[in-house]
Amino acid sequence: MEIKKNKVKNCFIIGPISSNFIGNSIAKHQTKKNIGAHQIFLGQVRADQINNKEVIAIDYSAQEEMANKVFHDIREKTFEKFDLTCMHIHHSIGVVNAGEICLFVFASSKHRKNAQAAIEYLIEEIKSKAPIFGKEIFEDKTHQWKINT
Amino acid sequence: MKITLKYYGEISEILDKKEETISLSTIVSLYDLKKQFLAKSVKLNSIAINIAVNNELIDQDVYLKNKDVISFLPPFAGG
Repeated sequence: MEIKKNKVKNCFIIGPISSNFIGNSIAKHQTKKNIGAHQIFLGQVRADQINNKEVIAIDYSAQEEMANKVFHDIREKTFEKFDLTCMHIHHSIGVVNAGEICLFVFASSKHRKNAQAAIEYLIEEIKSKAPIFGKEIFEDKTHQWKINT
Repeated sequence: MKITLKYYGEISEILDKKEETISLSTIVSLYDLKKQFLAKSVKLNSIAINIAVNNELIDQDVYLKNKDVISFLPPFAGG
């Protein structure tokens, strides 16, 4: 039997990820009754203090074609490693203010341990492998470039 | 041959452009191109740069081909 490969999807959302979007995403899973556990991670833009200046927003940009391919590959690998029912990755592009959500990852499985472990794994993969760039904007409109450590 | 250079994040800011197409009359390797790239501004030398050829990250020297697209990527900051 020929195995159908999933297509590369666009994982980017322009601007912040709304609580409405997240809520709807949870609601969509009510029909999948083999799921017993959802694990969600939300990344929020932090108002860091750097040299006495406060970060008010991060302006995200990306090599989108590569980043979507990286998300796709991370997805495939995560499905291979963990027994999941479904998984979703959404990342912001453009300006996200401090306090707003910039990353939403969602894994569902029959039992909780698989979903928990999958989320841990895929956040680390996203942070280290996705070509996404972040300009931290300060209150006085100056900026610096964020680097994941 | 013609190749397209794409710049992202801080690199695009330093060079004040997102992309450019250059014509090469001789065969050039990726590392030759990287040297020419780094010579564009001293500021580029303080950035840890990843390079992708046709959307694949490359960590060794390769010869460039006509119509290759080279992406110059600064450190990743997603999540």
